[in-house]
Amino acid sequence: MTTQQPQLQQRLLTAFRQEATERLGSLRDALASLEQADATPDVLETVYREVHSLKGAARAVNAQQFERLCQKLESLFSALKQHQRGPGQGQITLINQALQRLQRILNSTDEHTTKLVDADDDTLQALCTALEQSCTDPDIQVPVEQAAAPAEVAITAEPGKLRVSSQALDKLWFCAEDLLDTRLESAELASELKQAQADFTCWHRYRYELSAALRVLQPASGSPSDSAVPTFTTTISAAKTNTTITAHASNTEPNSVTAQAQHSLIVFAQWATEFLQQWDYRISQLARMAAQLAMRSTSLETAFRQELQQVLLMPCASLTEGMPAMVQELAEAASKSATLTISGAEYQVDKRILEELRSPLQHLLRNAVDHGIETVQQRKSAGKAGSARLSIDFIQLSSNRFGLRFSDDGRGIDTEAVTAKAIQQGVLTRQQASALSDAERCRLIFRSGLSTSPMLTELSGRGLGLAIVEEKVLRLNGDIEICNQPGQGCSFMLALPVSLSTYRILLVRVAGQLFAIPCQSINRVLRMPATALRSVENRAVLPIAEQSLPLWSLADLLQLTPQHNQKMLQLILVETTECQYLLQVDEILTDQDITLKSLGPQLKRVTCITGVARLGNGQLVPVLNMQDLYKRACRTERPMPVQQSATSAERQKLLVAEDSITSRSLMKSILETAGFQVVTAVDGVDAWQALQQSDFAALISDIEMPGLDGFSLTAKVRSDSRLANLPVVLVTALQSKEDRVRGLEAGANAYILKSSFEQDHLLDILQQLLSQEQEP
Amino acid sequence: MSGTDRSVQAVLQARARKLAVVETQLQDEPELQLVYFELAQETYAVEAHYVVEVLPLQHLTPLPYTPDFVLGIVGVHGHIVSVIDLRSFFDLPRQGLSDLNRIVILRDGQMKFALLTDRAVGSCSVPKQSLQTSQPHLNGVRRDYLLGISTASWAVLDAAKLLSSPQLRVESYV
Repeated sequence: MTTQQPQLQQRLLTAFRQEATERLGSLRDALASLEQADATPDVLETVYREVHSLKGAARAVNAQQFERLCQKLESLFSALKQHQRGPGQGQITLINQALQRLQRILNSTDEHTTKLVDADDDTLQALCTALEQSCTDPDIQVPVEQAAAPAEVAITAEPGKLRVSSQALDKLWFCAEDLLDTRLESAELASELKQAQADFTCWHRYRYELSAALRVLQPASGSPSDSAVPTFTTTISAAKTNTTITAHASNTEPNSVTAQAQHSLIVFAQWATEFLQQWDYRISQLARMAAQLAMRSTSLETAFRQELQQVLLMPCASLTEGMPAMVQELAEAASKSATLTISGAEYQVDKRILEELRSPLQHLLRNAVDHGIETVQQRKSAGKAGSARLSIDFIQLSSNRFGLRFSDDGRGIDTEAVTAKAIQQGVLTRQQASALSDAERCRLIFRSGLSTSPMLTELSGRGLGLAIVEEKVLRLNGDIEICNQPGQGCSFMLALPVSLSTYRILLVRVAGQLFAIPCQSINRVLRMPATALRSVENRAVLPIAEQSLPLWSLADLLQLTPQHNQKMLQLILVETTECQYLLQVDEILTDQDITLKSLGPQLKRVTCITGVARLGNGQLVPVLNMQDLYKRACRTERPMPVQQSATSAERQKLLVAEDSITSRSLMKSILETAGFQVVTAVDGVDAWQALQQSDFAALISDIEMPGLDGFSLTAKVRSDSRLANLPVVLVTALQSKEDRVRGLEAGANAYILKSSFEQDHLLDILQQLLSQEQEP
Repeated sequence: MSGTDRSVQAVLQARARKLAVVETQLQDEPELQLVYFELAQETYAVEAHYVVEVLPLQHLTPLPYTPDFVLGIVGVHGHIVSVIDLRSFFDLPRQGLSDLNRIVILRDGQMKFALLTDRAVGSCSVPKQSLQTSQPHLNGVRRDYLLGISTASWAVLDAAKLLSSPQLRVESYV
C-alpha cells in the first residue's frame, strides 16, 4: 500500500503537468487575442473557465501556491466578466506575470521528491496582492464589444467526444501494424493448409483401389489358418507403397505366422484407410476454416486501419495552439508588432501530419517575424498599419489534400538580393541566375546553407531553417509554393495530404533489391533502347522533348552492382522543383499507396533515404530521397557505368585469357562493371584464335595456362605485325622477380600479382594503357 | 491423520530434505540480471532490463548509405528497428548470416535498436561483485563499452553507454 502511494502521486503529477501546460497555452493565446482585438464575452468566458479548471486540477495534486494564484486570477476574470469589460493594459501585464509564474512552478521539479517546487515567497505574495487590488481597482477600462466574433481559442468539449492521449493513439496505430502481421500469418497458414489438402488428392486416387483390394482379402482375413488360399498371392500393385503381399506356401516358416502377419497388415490397411479418410476430411475442414479466418482477419484489419485513420483525424487548431502567443513574444523580442490570425482551423487532418508540421510552421513564423515584417516605423513610413498581420489559413484542396497558407504583409522577398547571395556562395552561376524566373529565384531561399542575411534585419545565418521546412514538407509528400509580392508581403502555400497513408510510391527493383520512389517527384517512366543515349561532357544524357537530361544508374548511385548490357533501359524521369533527371533501374514493378515510416531512433537521417514503406506482404522497402540522390549524383566523380554503355558503339572490347573459371568470371564482371565489353578465352590457344578473329583494345592474360602459357602468348602477340602494339596485361599468381622480368621481356605492358589483385588497380592500369594508346 | 497420510508426509519431508540447499546470501549481494549471447566466438552479455525482446533475425532489409555497422532494418510489431552488427563496430571477424542469428532489441528512453548475435541467447543472474572491471587484455572500441568481465569470461557490455553513444547514431547529409 505504501509503495503504491508515491506511484499514484507521480502519475497524478504527470497528468497535472500535461493538463496545466495545455491550459496555460490556451490561456496565453486567449490573452494575446484579448490584448490585440477587443474583448468579447466569449473569450472572457473561455478564459474564466480555463482558470477555474486549472485551479481545480492544482487542488487535486495539492499544489497550494499554484491553486492560490489561480484563485486570484479567477476572481479577477470573474470581476471582469461581471462588469462586462476586457482587461486593461496594467491588468494584462499582471495576468501575464501570473501565467509566467504558474509556468515556472509547473516546470520546476524538486530533486528529491520529484514534486513541484510550489513554495510561497515574496514575489508570489506581491503578485497575489496586486491581482486582488486589480479586481476592485482596474487601471484602464476597455469596453467589451458586444458583437460576438467567433472565439479563436475555445477549448470546449463537444458532446460525444473524448479526450485521448496522443501516445495512446500512437500505440493503437502500432497495434494496427501488428495486426497486419497477424493477417499475413493467417493468410500463410491458410495457403499451407490448402496445399496440404491438395496433397491429399493423390491419396484419393489410391483409396478406391486399396479398398477394392482389401475387399478381396477380407473373407480370408477372418481365418488365418486358411492362409494358403491363392488369393493371398495377389499383388496389390496399386498400393501407394507398392508393397507386395505374398504368401509363400512352400517356405520354411510356419504358415500360421505368415498368416498372422498378413492379417495384421490387412487390419492395419483397413484402419489406415479409415484414418486417412478422416484426416482428409479434417484437413479440408481446417483449410476451409483457415481460409475463412484469413478472409475475416483481412477485412478486420482493413476496417480497423480505416477506422483508426478516422480517429487519427484532428482539427488543425491543435497545430496552431500557442502560435498567436508565440508570434507576439517573437515580435516583442524583435521590437516589432505583429498579430497572427487563423482560419479554417476546424479542418480535420491526420494527427501525425499535424505533428510533423509543427516545427516547419514555427520556422516559417520565426522567419516571417525576423525577416519578413518591418519595424513599426518602417511600416508606417511605407503607409501600412503599424502592426503586421500574419495569417494561417487551412483550405481543403481536394478529397485527400489540404493547403496551409501562411502569409504576411511584410516587405516580401528581395529576389535580387537572394540571387546575388546565391551567386556569391557559388550555388549557381551568373548565367544560370539570369535564366531563372522570379518564382525560381524565390525558391532559392530553400537552398540549405544559403544565408538569408540579405533580407534580414538583425539576425543572420538562418539559411538552414527554410531548407528544413522544405525537406519536412517533401517528406510528408507535400509541396511548397511561394507567392511573393515585393513590398506587399509574401505567402507560402503548403499543399499536403490529409492522411499519412496516401503517400504514393513507385516500386522499382535494382540489383535484386526493392526501392520506392515517391510518385510526387516522378514525371513519367520510359523504356528506351540503350542506343538512344548520348554522352555529353563525360556524362550520359538522353534527349527528351528537345532537352538533354542527365541520366544515372540507380544501382550505381546506391553503390550496388548494376545489371549489365540491357538493350532496353527502364527509365524514370524525376522532376522536383530543383532538378530534372533520369534514373535507370532494372525493373519497374508497380505503384501503390504506403505509409511512410521513419527509420527508427538510431538512424536519425540517412543520406538519400527518406524513410521506409511497408508493403502488403510485410516487406520493408527504403523510400528514396530524390533531392539527396540528385546532389549525390552530381558529386559522383567515378565514371558511370551507364555512361560507358551509353557509348556502346565505342565501347572497348577486351580479351581475357584465364583457365580458372572463378578468376575468369570475376575478371569479366569487374571489367564489364567498368563498362568494357569482355570476350573470354579458356587458354592461350583459344585466346590466340580469338585475337586472329577480331580486334581487341587490350589483352589480359593469366600466365599459367595449359598449352600456350601467358609468356608465349605475349611473345606471339608481339611478333605479329597486326597485334604488335596491343596492350598486354599479365595477371598471375607467380611471385618471383624472374617471372616479372620474363613477362616484361616477352613484351607485356603490365604485370599484376593475383595476391595484390585489386580491381581498382587493374582498372587504373587499363585506363593508363588505353589512353596511352590513343594519344600518339 | 491416517497411517497412509503420515507415510506420505514422511516421504515428502524426506524428499524436501534431500532437495534443500542452504540459501545463499541473496539479500546482501546485489545481483545483475544478464542476457547473454555469442558473437564472433565469444560470449557477450547485457543487462536484462535494457532488453525488450529477443527474436530470430528475419526479413532484414539492408540500407544503402549507412555505416558498415548498420546491418539493415527489420519490422517489429509495426515499429522499424535498426540492426547493429557489433562485430563491425568492434572490428571483430565477421561471418555470413545463418538461421541461428538472433537479434536482441535494446531500449533506453528515446533510443532503441537491435544487436545482431551469432547464436542463441539465454539469461541468468550473477552477483554484481563478481564482475571484473579492469580488462587489461581488451583493446580498442570494445573496451569503451564494457561494464566488466564475468567469472565465466563473458564480456558484459554497458548497454546504457551503447544506447547513448553518439558514434552509434546515424545522421548524415549529402
